[in-house]
Amino acid sequence: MTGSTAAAPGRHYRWLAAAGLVLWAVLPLLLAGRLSLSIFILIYLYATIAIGLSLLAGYAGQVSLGQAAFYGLGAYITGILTVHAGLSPWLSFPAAVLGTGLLAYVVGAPILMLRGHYLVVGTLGLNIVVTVLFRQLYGLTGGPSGLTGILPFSIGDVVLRGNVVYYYASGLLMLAAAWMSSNLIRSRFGRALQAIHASETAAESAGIDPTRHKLLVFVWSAVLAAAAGAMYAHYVGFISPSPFGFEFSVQLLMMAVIGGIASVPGAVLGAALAVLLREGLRSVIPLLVGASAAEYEIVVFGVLLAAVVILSPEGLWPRISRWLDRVLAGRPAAAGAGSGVPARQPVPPMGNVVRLPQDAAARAAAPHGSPAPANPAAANPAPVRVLPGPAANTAANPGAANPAAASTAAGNPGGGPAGSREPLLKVEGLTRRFGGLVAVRDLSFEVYPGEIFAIMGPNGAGKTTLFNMISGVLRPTSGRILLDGRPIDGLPAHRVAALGVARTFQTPRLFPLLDAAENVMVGLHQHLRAGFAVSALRMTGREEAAARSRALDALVQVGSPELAPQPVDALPFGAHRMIELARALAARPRLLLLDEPASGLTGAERQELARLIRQVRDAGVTVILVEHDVPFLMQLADRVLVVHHGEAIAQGLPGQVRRDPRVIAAYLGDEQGGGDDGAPLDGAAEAKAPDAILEVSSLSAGYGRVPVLRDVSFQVGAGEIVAVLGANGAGKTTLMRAVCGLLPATGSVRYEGREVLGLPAERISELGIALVPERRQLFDTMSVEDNLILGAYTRFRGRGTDPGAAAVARDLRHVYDLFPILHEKRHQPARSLSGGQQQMLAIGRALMARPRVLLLDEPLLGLAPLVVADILNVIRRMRDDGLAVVLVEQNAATVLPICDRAYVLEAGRIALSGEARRLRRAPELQAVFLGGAVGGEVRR
Amino acid sequence: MSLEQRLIQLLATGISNGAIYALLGLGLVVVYSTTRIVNVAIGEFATFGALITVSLLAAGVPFPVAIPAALAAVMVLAAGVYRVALQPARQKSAGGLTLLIISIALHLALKGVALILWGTRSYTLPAFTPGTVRISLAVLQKQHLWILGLAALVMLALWLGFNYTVRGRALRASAVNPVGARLMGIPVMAMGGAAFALSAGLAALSGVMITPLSLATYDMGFMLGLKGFVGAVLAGLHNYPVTVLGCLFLGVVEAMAAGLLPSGYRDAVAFIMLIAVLLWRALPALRHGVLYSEEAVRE
Repeated sequence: MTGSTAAAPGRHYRWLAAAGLVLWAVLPLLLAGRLSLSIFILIYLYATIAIGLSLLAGYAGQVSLGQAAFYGLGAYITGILTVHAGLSPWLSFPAAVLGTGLLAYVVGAPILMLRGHYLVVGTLGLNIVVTVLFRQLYGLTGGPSGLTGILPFSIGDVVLRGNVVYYYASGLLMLAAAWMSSNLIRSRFGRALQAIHASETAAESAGIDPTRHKLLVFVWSAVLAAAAGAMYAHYVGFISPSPFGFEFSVQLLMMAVIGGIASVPGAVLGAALAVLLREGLRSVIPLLVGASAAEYEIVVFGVLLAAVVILSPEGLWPRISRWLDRVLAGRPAAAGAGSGVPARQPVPPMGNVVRLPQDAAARAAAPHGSPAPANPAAANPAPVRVLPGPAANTAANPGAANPAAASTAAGNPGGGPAGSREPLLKVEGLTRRFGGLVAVRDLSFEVYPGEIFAIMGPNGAGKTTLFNMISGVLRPTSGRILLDGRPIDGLPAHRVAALGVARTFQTPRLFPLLDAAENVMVGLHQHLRAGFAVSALRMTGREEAAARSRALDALVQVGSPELAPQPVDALPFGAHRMIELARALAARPRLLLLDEPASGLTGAERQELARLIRQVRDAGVTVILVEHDVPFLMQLADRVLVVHHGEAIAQGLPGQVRRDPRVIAAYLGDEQGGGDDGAPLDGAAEAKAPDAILEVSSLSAGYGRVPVLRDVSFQVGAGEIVAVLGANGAGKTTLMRAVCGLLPATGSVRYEGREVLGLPAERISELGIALVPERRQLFDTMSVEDNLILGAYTRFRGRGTDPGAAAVARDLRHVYDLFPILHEKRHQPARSLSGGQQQMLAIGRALMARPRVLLLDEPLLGLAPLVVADILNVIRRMRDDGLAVVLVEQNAATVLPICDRAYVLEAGRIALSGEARRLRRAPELQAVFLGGAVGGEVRR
Repeated sequence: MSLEQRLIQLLATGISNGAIYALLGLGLVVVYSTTRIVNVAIGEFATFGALITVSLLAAGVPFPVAIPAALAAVMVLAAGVYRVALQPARQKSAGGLTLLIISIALHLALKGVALILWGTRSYTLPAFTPGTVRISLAVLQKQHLWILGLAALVMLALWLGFNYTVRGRALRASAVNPVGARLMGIPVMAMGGAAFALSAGLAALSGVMITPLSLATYDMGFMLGLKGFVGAVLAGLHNYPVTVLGCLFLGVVEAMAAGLLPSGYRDAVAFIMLIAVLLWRALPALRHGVLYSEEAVRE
């Protein structure tokens, strides 16, 4: 196909492209009337539109079902101008393209506020409205019967007419569209689009204005469609509303999807297939069914589309391209946006974090790249270039500008607010509500230049919400955020980023279509200048080269330069963290926000990370850190702020905070809940010889690439309460989810001697393991009684017996007995209950299944002490009824008094285990939660 | 006809059209809330309901038998379609957009099948009871009353089923909280199929009821489905009573516009309303920042 000109840089593609181009040029001669050129003209016109849609939907992720409207607008504007105003096509054609672009700009601004499904439907609605106008504005458009007498192009007296002329004209249009679109994809603009597609939040935090970029690509796609439409109008000389209906928009989307939605050659391929298929069907179907049933093609189209989407969601071109790689080169080579590079290399250890000179960086990157150097910077390392951009100048090296700050921070870690310095960041009375929930309440603090300021707090304390407000992706409900004395609350995130604030995310948000270096280059967006036109015409060479070398610098800084040319999808989790960090550092921020940078990393990786963060601080960057891993945080932070339930409960040096009784209570709980109940638990514990009913051994699990649990084993017997304790992020919830079949895992889970690992969650709950999950997972809008009845769902099916209304009613009474408040509120929706009542409902619902093992995930989280005592009492009653109870908790001190045995999870492994009454007094317990010296015989 | 009379007449037709849209809207909400699929093909189920009934009548099956038989056939068809085309994609945890494209593909394919089976002809069905009835100033066909009555009955049945049967509750639970539902042992994936069949049944009924008033063709479904969608979007795709109100409102506005503007603008009215509503719903996200709106979509 001629479209291979648009293929990516691999060398053999150039030959292919050249051959395609020659074929395109001589094709009219070859065919010599045997096949109508009109088919090719349609292919070229449709391909032009599909290319625009590919950029819009495939790269930017904004799926539109309204492209036919712009195609139609282009055709009608040029048609109306020549027919009614007598304008020359040479004037009406550009007028149609520009006019449509302008309309798209005006319409796009509001319509692109829509997302996902709603955008699809909104653009579809737009298409229908436009076609209705074509039909109804008789005076202008000629109504349903259309507009005739559209002038052809002419030069002097020579009228340009006929297939051959339009064959070349439409072909050139398509080639230009493909060339410029491919250039755009590989520019700063294209990277921004792909970033927006992957995560608008991450893109905006990296300094990209999503609204503007979405609008630009929308207008670009409309312009391409309008150019195709206008050319069609002059080619055919007659237009009517029907080719511009939404059905054609659907077909256009189909072309883009079949070919491969995120690829320019794919769009061309899809258009070719669709046109050829249609022509083929039109000549075949009448033979089969007699009548002229041209619309039969939609069956074939529909089935084909469904098949492609289900069987090969990425479309045909990526497959063909990989096949070509193999056939033509006999080896993988760079193709498309950085695919095909040998991937899946082992995790590189985070080596020395040394700042290499530029050429060393290039050398480090080169051996992994394709033989043809991926970029000029790597081949011809130039001296350090200072990139243009106002932020670059101010943010380039704040440490140098203020060496005192850096040295104070370095020499006096934990020095705290040195009186004379102005805070870099000042937060005053910050509050954020979500509906009725207050995530952050009246929070105030100051962060000084050149310090590492850590924010810690138990689950749901509001830490991430706080970050989101500082970085501008979430607006505060009230309060102020000042950066250098300037209010930044209410500014969109990309403006905040432009002021020198960079951030990372709890789960790294990378852009999967880009390679590692390009991911980092996204962080440079605001320091680059190349505009839309410059990018489309590929006049960005020097700036791109400089940006790439700066991205390599950042990768060197995080110790992973060898990752540069690799597609990020195949990389391990640790590498994702590092690439994201490099992206943040590449922007040369003044303030760096790190959201749980250590989670998912191994011990060695954590130490490297700590060193790197210190190094960044010493270079003068102020760091704010949110972290679950408290020991990690304590060793790193200059100052610590502790939040609990959205409020600050302590602030100061790490050593002070660790000893603060309120902090200890927040993390470990206190004993006032159930400890003083005076039950004879010591005796009870020994009386039981736990005959394990649930036996978990060597269980490992994680989320995608994030390993969370490593080789965890525990057991619980009937009539026993076993606690699984651990700090935030230790893997407690993951463990529960894995046991219940909600998360794939390896190892073994035996229930009543039978292996249940790998069974679906429904089946496991049916067998008799009930989970009271974290955050309760109630059916919020349904009544209390409905929730309870659904707890008995498995008893209504399978096993062949209906439990009968009587049995369910009896169990209901039992639950109402345990929790009288639920009976009182049985007709109210679950979400109207208080937190404690919801927890009771969650437990009651689990009991309705008559389980033999009950798993409780953080049942005490956020509850008042009295409620805690109530719930602990009920748990004890259930144990006495012979249930095996696993109690997952952070509040060790609160629950240990009622437990028989306990396991302590730390970073996904069992760190301690033993009898509950012994563990209660073990000093190691506090060390696991809050860091500090550890030693002791219980530790494995 | 006085203006007043005309307005009342339009109001009545609008409400009756709105009731048809409401059945489709409810079907879309059932499916969307349990599966996150916007079922573009729902209109085709209306087509199939109407045309299968036509064929059964032609084959000599009595009307009262033909309708339930057609509904049952359409529900089986829908469950099969879900099982073959959508469940595999859902199990591979395909994104919302992939599912949307599959359902567009289904719409095309089913429309094509209808074309093959019934051609481009228009068919009609007899009114359930022929004749007209005079209410206040308006003269209505008795079919309008059938539509209102049956729609009300179906909505009542849905309400009872969703609130008082275990299976109905389980279906709601799968929509409200899929994770919680799985923990209770509710097979959420299979519930998607049940939702699909249920919505197809609703659509088929609406197709059968509207055919006596406006002819049935192979491509009648899409516009019907879209109108239902507009009503459902008014309710944010999750609230049943508001969906019904939204659809009734749409029906009335549309009938008024059709009566008072040139008739060709009828479809445009629905979609201008749709775009306006979508934008209005998108506004709060703007106030809260990009994260809020992004998560509202993932939801």
